[in-house]
Amino acid sequence: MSNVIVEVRDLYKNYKDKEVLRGISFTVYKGEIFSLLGPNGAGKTTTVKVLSCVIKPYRGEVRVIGYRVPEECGKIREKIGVMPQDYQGFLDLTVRENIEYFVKLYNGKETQVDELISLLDLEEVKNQKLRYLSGGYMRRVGLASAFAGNQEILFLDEPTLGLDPKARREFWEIIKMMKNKGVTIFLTTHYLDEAQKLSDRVAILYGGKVIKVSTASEIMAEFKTSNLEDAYLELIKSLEDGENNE
Amino acid sequence: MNRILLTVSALVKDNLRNRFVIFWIIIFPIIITLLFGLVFGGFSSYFHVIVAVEGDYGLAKYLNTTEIFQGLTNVSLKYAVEHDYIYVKVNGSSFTIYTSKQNQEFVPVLESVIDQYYQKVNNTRDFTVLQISGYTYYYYLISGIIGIISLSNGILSTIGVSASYFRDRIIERLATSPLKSYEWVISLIIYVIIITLISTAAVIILGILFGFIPIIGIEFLGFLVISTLLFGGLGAIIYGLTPKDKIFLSEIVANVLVFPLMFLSNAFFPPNVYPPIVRIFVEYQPLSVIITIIRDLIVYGVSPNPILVSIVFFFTVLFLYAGGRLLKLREID
Repeated sequence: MSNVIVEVRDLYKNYKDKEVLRGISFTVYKGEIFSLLGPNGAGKTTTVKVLSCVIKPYRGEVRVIGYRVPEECGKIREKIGVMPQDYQGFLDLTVRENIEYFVKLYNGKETQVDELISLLDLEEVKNQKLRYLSGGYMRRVGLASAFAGNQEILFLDEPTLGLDPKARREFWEIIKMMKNKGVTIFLTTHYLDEAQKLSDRVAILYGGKVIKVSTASEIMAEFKTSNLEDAYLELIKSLEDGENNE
Repeated sequence: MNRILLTVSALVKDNLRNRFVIFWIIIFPIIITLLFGLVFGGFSSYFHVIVAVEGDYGLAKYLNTTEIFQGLTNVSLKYAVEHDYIYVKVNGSSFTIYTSKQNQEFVPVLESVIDQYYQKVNNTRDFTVLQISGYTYYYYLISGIIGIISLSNGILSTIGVSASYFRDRIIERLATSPLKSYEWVISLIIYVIIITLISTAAVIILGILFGFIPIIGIEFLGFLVISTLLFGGLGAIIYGLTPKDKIFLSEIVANVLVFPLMFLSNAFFPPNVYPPIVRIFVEYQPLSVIITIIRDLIVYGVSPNPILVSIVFFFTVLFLYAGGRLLKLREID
């Protein structure tokens, strides 16, 4: 059986006249944490939206869990979990009710609600409305909702954006725990330290193209830097210099 | 079906726990009913007491020259009763005046106006005053408020829920879930209907305290649902056509649309009290048409004009179809 869970070949996506994705290709393997990095407007969220069957690819081949996008999106949606950027949830439902809604939406068992509350350490806030939760807890609820059907792959779009350092680190531990349960994590992030700490592999998106797919340590070695952020900045600078010289 | 019920349940709980939503669907209609009811309920006809005259067109014309009365002709007694007009039947020098209890205080004034008019013609006049059970201003007001509820809940709730769920990324999350677009649209429609029924019940209960006796039949409930769907479909179109990076515009457009429709309608006063320049708009704008039908059903218990009902039904289907397509969760369904 193939170890590939996401396969993207020569994917293009336009918004009106603007070409957002210009022939990107990459592969994600089962059980890994794969991070998609890039500056604002590089196409990270658009990529997640195509992979999660929200928007149609303009051209190219996309397969998620072996199913084709957009032809087999009904099957894909049953097996993926998504946490959109800055997800708030049903603000006047309690934590438990929010999770319960998504568990039932994915035909999960009632017992899974309590399992998720326990797994994501939401016991003490389970009866609180989302409106009154801190950002850290809010993201945990978002993650619990994304994982509500015991999905094989989770797409997390900027999951720690706006969180304080402590909440971010707590969230990293949860993501690692998910990976240890065998879940594939597809992450987009602006935080390079996060990508370095968490990811098995990263892809760097720039101007609608994937310019690098590798491990963080390989990229750091290539640019002779001690952290991924410096390597990333070097890479982006060289690309911008190249554009300016043209 | 399970996913629809599940989503309706989440929508109802999530929204009815929100004080802001409770204000708009229950407190606001009650406040507006109380406000207009208490201010205008006792002397609803302060500006113009409408007097239907049978048997002397000249008298009706003369009444129009007074500050207080407005004379009408070619109006049946039944119609006059339904609309709380005073009805004057002239037979030579005998005058039979039919009036509701509410309008009885105007009868002496009316008699003296009639006296003035006939002074040159005849010196002996014989008045008979009959009190009939008419419809008070509350009948007029409550039925008008019910129309407003279908408008405001239809447009504002559809847009309000869609826009806030868009901002909170719930729409985006649902778009990646197995929930189908049509299931989402039906869930939203059912939610809007539920809150319309809640608002209507609140206003009717308040009306009963003021002596309003509603005629609630299947036709009334069915039409209430249709009118809510009509405005809900319109709300969905407004939301769907608004660029999503400027989603706040949909709420502005909704308010700009709802409030003039609400106040320039026959909800609070009959169209003839409005200045002539807006009177035609007041009489024929969509909310007024819907209120007229609602009034026929819940107040007078008569069959509404089938042409009006057909027009409303046609636009409901049209708006629902267009709005439903624009409300879809995702590009790929």
